[in-house]
Amino acid sequence: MMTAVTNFEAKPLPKSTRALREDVQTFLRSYKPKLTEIQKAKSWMGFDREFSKALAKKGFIGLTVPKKFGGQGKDGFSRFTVIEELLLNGMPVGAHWIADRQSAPLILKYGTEEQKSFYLPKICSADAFFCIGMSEPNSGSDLASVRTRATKIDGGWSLSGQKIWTTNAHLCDFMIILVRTSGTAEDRHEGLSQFIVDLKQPGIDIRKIRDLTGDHHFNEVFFNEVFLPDNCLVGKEGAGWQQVISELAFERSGPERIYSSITLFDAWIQHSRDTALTSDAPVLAGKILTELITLRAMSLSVVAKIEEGEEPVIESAIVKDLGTELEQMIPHALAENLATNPESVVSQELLSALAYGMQISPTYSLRGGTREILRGMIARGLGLR
Amino acid sequence: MNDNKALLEGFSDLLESLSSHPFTSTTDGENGSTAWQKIVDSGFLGIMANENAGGAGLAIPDMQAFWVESGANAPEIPLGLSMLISGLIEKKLTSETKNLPISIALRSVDSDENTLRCRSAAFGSSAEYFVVIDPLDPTWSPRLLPKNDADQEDLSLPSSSHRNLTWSNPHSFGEKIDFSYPWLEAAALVTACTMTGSLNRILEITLEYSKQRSQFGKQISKFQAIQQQLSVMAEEISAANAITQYACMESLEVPHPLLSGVAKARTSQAAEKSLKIAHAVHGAIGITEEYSLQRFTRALIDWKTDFGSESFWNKRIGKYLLGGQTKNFSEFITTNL
Ligand SMILES: Cc1cc2nc3c(=O)[nH]c(=O)nc-3n(C[C@H](O)[C@H](O)[C@H](O)COP(=O)(O)OP(=O)(O)OC[C@H]3O[C@@H](n4cnc5c(N)ncnc54)[C@H](O)[C@@H]3O)c2cc1C
Repeated sequence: MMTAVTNFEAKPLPKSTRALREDVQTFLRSYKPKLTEIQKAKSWMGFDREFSKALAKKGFIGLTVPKKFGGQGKDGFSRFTVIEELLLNGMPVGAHWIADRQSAPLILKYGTEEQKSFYLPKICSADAFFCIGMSEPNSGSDLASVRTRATKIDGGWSLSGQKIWTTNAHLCDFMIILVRTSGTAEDRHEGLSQFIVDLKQPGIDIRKIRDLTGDHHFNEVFFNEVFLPDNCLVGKEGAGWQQVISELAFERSGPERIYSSITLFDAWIQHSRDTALTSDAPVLAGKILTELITLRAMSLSVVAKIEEGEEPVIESAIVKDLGTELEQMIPHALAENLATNPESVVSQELLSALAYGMQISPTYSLRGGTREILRGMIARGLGLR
Repeated sequence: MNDNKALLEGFSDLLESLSSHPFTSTTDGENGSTAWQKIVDSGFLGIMANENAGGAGLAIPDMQAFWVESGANAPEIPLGLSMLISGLIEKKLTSETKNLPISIALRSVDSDENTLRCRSAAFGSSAEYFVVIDPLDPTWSPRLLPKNDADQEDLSLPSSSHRNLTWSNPHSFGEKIDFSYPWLEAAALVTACTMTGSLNRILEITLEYSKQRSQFGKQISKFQAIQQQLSVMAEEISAANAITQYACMESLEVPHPLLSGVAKARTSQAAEKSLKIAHAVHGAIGITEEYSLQRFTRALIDWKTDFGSESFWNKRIGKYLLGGQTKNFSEFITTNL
């Protein structure tokens, strides 16, 4: 009688991942630059080429990529363990994040042998960083309405149009772009295709956009008759919509959707332990811990489903929506708690990190699909639409 | 697990066959007693008892699904708790007490040597026996006591299953249960699972209703506002299913000392959000006695605070975390999960 989408079968992390976790911890202890609380709070927004390289040397990138393409050939639980440990420590993992999370799996699934042999080893060695070219000024949630177009020419394609909100386009080597290759925006899911764009090509103009905290991570990217050789097409021409849905499923299913505020929580725990315990701290600590443990169990259940070859698209949407709600609640609740108890002195570092968290956290439920869009997907899973 | 699958199917079939009996009360009222008698006859009460005592020897990880089924079908009776207790104190049960519905009640702080009080006892209306435990003092030995010996107060609200019970004669304080066991965690875990069953049921009922009911010329399920609310409900109920499964799976010998409370806290939160949405989507029909929704939502309201509310458990877990055993969340995971 149970509604299928609400069933999250429990799957603990296999005991075999313990050694791997210890390896990551040992590596982080030896390498770790001293990060400030704000830097930690940025985590997968932070871009550090050298750190990504060091991780790659250790084999911590491309864990699920087959060995013959330079990866580790391990399972999803191993990958979960490594990225969980990186996120819990607030490491600046943004440089390789997109490539590792969604570009590599996409290329592995839809790419040609040539593309796999060319890109995957570079991704695994942190020599190729990727960004996501989906959103446009007039195509946000309504992604199928993209207007950027690739027109067939001799030996390749000519790309013109504009992408926006492209995280780290200014620092990356490649973009996987969703464009129209036939028909018009009215044709919706038909006539869309995905390409790998080398961002060093002529005709590409990348302009920075600053966010409300003053940071520059996302960009506008303009394409003016950029030449794309034929071998840049990923998968089938016209099958871009199906592929992008699959890419979004990779994008939404990981633990980064529950841990964006975790280092703030740890810093607050440290503070609350060092100072006299306020009477309301334990209930709040427990509330956050209860959510985290539940979401982690759900996230592991999603990993298990992917391992079994399923495509848990609705389940991922459920975890992301609940997860981002927690991520947004944490900085506000912690700041509220500290301000309720003025008898203890709070370090400026913690206060600033919490302020940063509060300012940036609205993005958590926008990036990767908005709350309303996710809930619409869940409603479809429930048979309501 | 495969053997359990057949058992579980048998259990579901049994409960579904009884669904025409409103389990209003277990032994008063003809329907109630027939339903309970059928459960007794089925042998499922002893499912956790030792195999050589005629049980099936199921452990907590196997039991989650059975407790969920109980909550999905029979929220009025302490079926899940009776299965747990029968397994635990099998030897203390006589032929007379063996087949009676048993619940767990919490000793109230205003008890003393002469009076044993339990306030808002869970399943006070339908249980015949109670294992009384002290939620704050683990050195106080639990007792098995008949409801008949207690003064009963029904809180002037017959629609709640809670009862205040007072045993006022020390001679009637019953037999001590002298082995140590995390009773409160167990009661919380069973209740979290039972709640999950009722939550699954109210989601099913509400989805169904939203497709049947039309306003403004279309099914209300077609309104985006309704869809978004139902999605939120499904998310909460997913969380309840996930955490109860996880907590049971990690409870190998005894209920997990932290996860049982986590399960109860998270499920109680899911219950509050979900039952509000379920009623909102139903409109007025949902609060009628005749319509099935309220059987489950009333039970959920009682269970939300039974055996530790959301904040009770959150406070305990939070104290553990702030107490310094583990430095941060990463260490918490490696130490406890
Ligand atoms: C920090 C950050 C990083 C990002 N990085 C990238 C990136 O690297 N690459 C990339 O391609 N994009 C990126 N994005 C863009 C992101 O994918 C979009 O912001 C998102 O898809 C929403 O689009 P929009 O911002 O245009 O909002 P809109 O789609 O205009 O939505 C505005 C509001 O309307 C609601 N709405 C829209 N449609 C419906 C509907 N059918 N029903 C109900 N409500 C609806 C939305 O939920 C939202 O509340 C990033 C965004 C952020 C915030």
